[in-house]
Amino acid sequence: MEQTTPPKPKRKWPYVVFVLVLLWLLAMVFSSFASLFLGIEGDTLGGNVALIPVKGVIMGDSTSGFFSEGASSEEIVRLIEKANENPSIKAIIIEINSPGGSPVASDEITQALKRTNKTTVAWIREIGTSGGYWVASGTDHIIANRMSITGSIGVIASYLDFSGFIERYNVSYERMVAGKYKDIGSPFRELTSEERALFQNVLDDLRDEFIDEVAANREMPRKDVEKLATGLFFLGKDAKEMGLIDELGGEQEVIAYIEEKEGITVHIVKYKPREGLLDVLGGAFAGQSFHIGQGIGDAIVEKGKASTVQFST
Amino acid sequence: MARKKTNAPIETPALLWKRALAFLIDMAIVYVIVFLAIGDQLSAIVPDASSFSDAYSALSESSLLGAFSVIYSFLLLIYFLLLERRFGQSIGKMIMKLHIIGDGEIGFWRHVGRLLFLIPLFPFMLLWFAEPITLLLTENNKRLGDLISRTRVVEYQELSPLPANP
Repeated sequence: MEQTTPPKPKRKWPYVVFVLVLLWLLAMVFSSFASLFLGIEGDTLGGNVALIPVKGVIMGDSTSGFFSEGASSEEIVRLIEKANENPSIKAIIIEINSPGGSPVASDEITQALKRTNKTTVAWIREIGTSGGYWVASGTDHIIANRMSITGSIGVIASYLDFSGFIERYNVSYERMVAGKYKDIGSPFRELTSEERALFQNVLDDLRDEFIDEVAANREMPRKDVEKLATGLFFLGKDAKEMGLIDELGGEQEVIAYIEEKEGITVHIVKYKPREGLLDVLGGAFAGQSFHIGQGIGDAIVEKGKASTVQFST
Repeated sequence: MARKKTNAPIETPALLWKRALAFLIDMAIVYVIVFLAIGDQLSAIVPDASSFSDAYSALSESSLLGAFSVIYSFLLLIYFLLLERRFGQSIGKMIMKLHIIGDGEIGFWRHVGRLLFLIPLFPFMLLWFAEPITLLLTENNKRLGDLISRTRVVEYQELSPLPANP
């Protein structure tokens, strides 16, 4: 320890403020230079092409705020609208890796795509079937790998019939309904032939909607789409011959298409859907548990609904 | 009436936690300035980040994370040089009442020597590992930068007045 005199105080604050303002100016200058050196134009610093993923089963919304799975149409529509409102964004790429899902959710995404005034491109990765293809059909251009699986135009509805199971264990289903068809599709009794016909009508109507939508979006004759609408899936190379997709390829072809159409150098910016808390925390284990639990739960009965039949495209 | 005697302040090596806190304050100040200057650009790059990892990956993909780090490091360097050369203190050190002193006048290059670890280039980045080691192992907790520049960070403590003799 030494006994010394501390430095004589100087009037500090004007100089400190000067230094801080100088730093602020330098930060702006440096960032502008950085943008130039990285070849990024000012208005495209945030990217000029939005990439929006549609991954997993397409559904209306995330299962809950805590858990999330699949592709929520609510979230994807929000991202499409956000990209559409951004003047820097010249095109939207929908990256599809989905086996389909809810017809309503698929249609919501499709209509949102059709409402945009930007160039839209569907990039089908491994799979873009059923509702996934419905969404793709709403874009200006569809690109898929030659081995991608696509198509599967059709509608499916299914439920588990537990009537035999509960009968075996001497449990009876006491039916109390106000309204003849209120418990239609209940897993605790078999469908009557009339009910089965009713369901089939709904499925046929949904299939017709699907066909109409694809025919209109792809500008294909309805009868041609109807021929393909057997529920069968196709490889990308076959889908191209059938006119279901426009081009075979991947990311490079997607970029080339946009660059040629828009006359820009593509800088992709990813628009990611919000994640559930567990996703953010990397709760893979909890996610697995949830899927198992949900699977068992759904198989038995969907809470609050008499019918457990779900329609999927 | 009894008279009190006062002593000259005593110079002691700055406590480690005070130095760390002062550095964190300085980092935060420069970070806020950089963010104010290029915040709009950053928010455009990360339009829908819902978590820190999203923001980080979006920045990485845009190549601007590296640029941002370089800008931030250079501004920190300029900030310390301008303030410590003039006052022997940065804002963090002013708040924590710490001073940089050395043998004789501390010239420009001795100040640069103290701040080599802020230069975001390869050999200097190794100092991020060396600095904490020397800080913990040397007498009076000197950083490698302190040793290179022959400077030290101190605080001045006023001795409590001696009771007056009756």
